[in-house]
Amino acid sequence: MVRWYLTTLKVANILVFFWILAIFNTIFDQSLIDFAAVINVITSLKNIVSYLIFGLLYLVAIGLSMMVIFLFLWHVYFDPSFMRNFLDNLFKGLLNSWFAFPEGPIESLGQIPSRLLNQIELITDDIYNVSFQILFLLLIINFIRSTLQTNPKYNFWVVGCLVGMIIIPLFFEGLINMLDLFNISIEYLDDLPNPLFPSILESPVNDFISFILSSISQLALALYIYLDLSFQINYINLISMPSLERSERLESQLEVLNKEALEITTNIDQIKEESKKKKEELGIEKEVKISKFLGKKEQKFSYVKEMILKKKLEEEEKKLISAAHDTRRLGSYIERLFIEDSEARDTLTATSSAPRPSKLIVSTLTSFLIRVIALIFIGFIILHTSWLIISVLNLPEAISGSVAMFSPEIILVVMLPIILLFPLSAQIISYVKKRALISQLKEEREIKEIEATVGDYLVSTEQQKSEIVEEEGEVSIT
Amino acid sequence: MAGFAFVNFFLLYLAIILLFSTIISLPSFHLGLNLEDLKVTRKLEKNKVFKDDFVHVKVIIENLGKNKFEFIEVRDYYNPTLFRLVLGENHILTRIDPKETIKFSYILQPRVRGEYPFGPLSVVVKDRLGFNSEERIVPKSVTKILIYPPYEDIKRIEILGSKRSLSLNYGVQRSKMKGLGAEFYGMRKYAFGDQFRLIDWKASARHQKLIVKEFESERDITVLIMVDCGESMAGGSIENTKFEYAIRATMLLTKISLTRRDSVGVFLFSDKKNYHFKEPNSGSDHFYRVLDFVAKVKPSGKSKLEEAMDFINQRFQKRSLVFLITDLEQTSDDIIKGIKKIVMWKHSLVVISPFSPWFEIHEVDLSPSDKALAEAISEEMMEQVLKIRHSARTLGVPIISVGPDDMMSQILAQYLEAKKKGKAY
Repeated sequence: MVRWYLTTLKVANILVFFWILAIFNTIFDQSLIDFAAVINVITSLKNIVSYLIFGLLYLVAIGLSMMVIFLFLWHVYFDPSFMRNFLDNLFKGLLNSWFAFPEGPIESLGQIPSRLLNQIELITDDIYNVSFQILFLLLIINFIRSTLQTNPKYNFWVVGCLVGMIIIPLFFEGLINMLDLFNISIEYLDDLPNPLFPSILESPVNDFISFILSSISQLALALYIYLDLSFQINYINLISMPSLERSERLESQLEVLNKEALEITTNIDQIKEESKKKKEELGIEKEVKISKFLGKKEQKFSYVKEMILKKKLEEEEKKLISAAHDTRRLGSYIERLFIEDSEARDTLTATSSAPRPSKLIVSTLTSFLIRVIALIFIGFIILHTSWLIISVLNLPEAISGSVAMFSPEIILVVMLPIILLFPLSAQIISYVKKRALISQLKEEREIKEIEATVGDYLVSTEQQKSEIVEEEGEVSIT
Repeated sequence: MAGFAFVNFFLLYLAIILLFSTIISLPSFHLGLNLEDLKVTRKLEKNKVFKDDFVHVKVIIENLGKNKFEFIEVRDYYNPTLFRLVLGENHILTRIDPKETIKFSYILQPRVRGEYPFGPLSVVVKDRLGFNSEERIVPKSVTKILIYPPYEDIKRIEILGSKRSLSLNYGVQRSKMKGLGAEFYGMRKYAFGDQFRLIDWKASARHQKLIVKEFESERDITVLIMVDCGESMAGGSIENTKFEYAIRATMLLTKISLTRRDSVGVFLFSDKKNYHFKEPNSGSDHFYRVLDFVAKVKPSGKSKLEEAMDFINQRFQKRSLVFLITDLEQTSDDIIKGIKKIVMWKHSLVVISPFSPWFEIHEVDLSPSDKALAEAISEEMMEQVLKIRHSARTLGVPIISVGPDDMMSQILAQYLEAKKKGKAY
């Protein structure tokens, strides 16, 4: 039942992901992204690597030829210009045709740096477009990983990649706007396409319903729901799967144990036989007695070697026999345990720890709905500070009509107190509970002390009474 | 850069949601965090267990309060060098509703003899999404567990019966020592000097020659086992040090001796701070007292045999069969002086010496230089033992060097021989 529930949540999470993609499609214009940019970047990278290899080989060859020249310069028949001509013919003629350089063959080594710079320039032209494609690819990969493995880290990657695709164009847009303030214009930046629709820059309307239905708030909420569901799936997986797996694992272990315990005697005999054969083959004595070692002084060294070799064989034998004995003992112990303790099997498998699916479903839905609704309202209140200040708090005109009300930073005025409210209230609750617990423990200790002293008092009065009775007895006798 | 972020309400709204999602549950988490309502207890199947036995540990978690705990992790700590986890797991991740009880258990196998703390229990409470957590150690959740020496040796004797087991498992052969006693041993041909009352006339008539009965000496003696518990006896692998072997031999000898109605005492010694003496006594219950006595002792301190013998001589002077188990790693003078102090009180002494190199070469994959070193150490040790043996021989004290293979059989053989010869009567 829990497995079915988990599968249902995973399916819901997948549907939320597609919902996210659908909303994203309404704010992201894919037609502006050049999909051929990837090929261009790969080609440029290939060209850079080719230039680097060519240059490196040329340098190595020059170095070697200089060495040869230096070594054979004294020789009367040696002509240094031969090496230079040889190199030129080799590199410019032969090797140039191996590499497919886009700007034609390289005539000299000095051309390589400038050609490299050209390729880097080409990459920078396309890197903007390629970054979106890389992010999208990472998004898909991490989505698949998050579906197959319940680890919220992959879901974070999905959200991060998507938000990255939004942040990159916004970043350049903001940079352009900032440079405009100083009348600076960079052609490269101006030519970059902005794939985001203008709706992403709109502020949400003051009406709550319109706020909920706007694409940006839907996207933000959907991303949060996607993350929240992943954490819920992770939580259910953590508390329910271990107990199911534990039960399965233990049952298989007990089955193996039962089977092995029946075959133990045969196994032990086999182990001993094999060990005996090995010792006979190596000519090792059955029992190494110290007295022999102390007696045969001239054979001590070989005796120590024999001892070490014997110990090596015996270690293996001992381990196997010990494991076999342990298995048999464990088998009989488990059998006895299950007879003496009726709940031992259940406690070993921790079956009572498996959560009930109905309670899980109810608590998941409840906590999820409460969180989402609370976050929607908190988000609305913080984003609509003016509405809060003017309509709800009804602050005077001096505040509600001030310039600060129209700056984006006014949000902080409401956000900071609300943010601090939660941890502060948590601390207060924690402090109050601690004090209550301390006073409760103090009361209990006082009660115990009183009981102890009352107990002593009672004992002493009983002793006194018994003494009095004895004395009276004596008196009566006398 | 900061300016554009505020202009963009999507990023702002997303940041607000993500930020508040981490702290929104904080007050409710602390409100529901009534750890005092959570009662976590541990039940050990037994507080005293043999080294080769198993122990079932059960942990019970009860929620006595009205709030549920969405996510709790309970872990029962144990030292993995001392215990091996055999079955189950020592921790659990679960949720617990109000008035609910959860139980889990696991089985451990002790690996090292001694008295050790077990626990503590720790409880970690988290919220569903794992953003908030609180950890507590359960008070008074550390239990002491006493691990006895292994019972395997003694079990063999109990199963097969002492006499048959001794010959089968320890190769101890009963020697035909002449002696006066009540236990019939066997028959043989009459030899000049045998008492007439021992002649079995019926057997003689059957075989047409004189046949006499043989008896074993079965007088009760006092056996005192002295075990060196100095630091040098801790040599060897952690589960099988010389001291562990000595303790096993002590328990085996105690069992056999008590079965034969002898009194057994144990004296563990090293330096002045580490003298532990259990007075000789008899009876089957005494075995368990000795077991409790030796279970807690660990090797420590530098052994001083002479001082230890002074100590024991002041407390116990009855003529006994004394077994001294020591690795002879003190100075030879100290050892000989110590031996003299025992012999002085007319005790019948046998020294059983675990030969250190044999116990301490437990890393079998030795490099050539390590092997050469082992050989050199063995030779040096051998010289020392021979020197002490020679001096002890003059006092009539046998020193028997043993390895892990033959320690049990040697000590039992010495005991049986001493019984036959009537030593320490």
